[in-house]
Amino acid sequence: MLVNWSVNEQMALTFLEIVMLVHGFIASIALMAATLMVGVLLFSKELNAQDVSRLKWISLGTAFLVFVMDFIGGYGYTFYRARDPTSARSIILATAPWGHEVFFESMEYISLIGPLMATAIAYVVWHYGGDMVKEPAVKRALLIMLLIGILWGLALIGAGVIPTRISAVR
Amino acid sequence: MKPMSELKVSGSLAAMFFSTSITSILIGILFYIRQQSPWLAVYSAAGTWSGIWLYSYITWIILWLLGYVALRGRKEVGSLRTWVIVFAIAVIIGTLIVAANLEWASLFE
Repeated sequence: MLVNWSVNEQMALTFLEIVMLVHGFIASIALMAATLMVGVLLFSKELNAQDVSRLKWISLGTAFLVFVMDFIGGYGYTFYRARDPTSARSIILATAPWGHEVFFESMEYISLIGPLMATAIAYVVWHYGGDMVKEPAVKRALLIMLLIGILWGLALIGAGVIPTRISAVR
Repeated sequence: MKPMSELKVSGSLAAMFFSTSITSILIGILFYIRQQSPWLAVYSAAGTWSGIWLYSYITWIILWLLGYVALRGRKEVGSLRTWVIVFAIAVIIGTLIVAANLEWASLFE
């Protein structure tokens, strides 16, 4: 049976849209990784060496991804703010300026703190290793840092979705 | 089992908390001065965002290295509780400085 692989024009994504989709995917992956860490800290009393190693690499990988997400965001930002009446920024400023002035700006600039937080969390995980579940003080410290990161990340994702609904980078 | 206030932090960990906290606040400060600071537009296509990105991360690395060199031999530099509070407050301050300098009035236009 022949399958028609041609895609409806409405569904076709531009390169830039795919890049921005990856940007969003990474934000979701980082939040999932942080949530996984919270789960492990809340429900584990002890971890074997292999599990500790996995968590260390998950935390380091997440920190790396947050840097990549920031970099991709910066790449998309150059197209977003192009001095062109068809750019997303121009459209948002002409139709709903608050979408740029409040939501996009907060997402773009506050997100610069993200890689710092993700690196700090990864560093604490690598520094304490298995003690992160055995030592209640370390567990509590990591939980606080992770919860700040998750709530902060959710707020920024929300701030990013609003201008994208008005006009996406494409 | 020690409470967070009694668990002491090593010099290398304190250097990380110190550099991360200062840089979080620095990002807010650079955002605050960006309108009067054309030097922040390192890459014109990305505007002042590029300079805030570049200068804050360079500062972060330098502070971390300096802090590491200065504190690496020390076994106790404050408690874990103190550093987590410093970190949390710094993230909140950095975020609030940016938030306070957004064009909130545009929401009501």
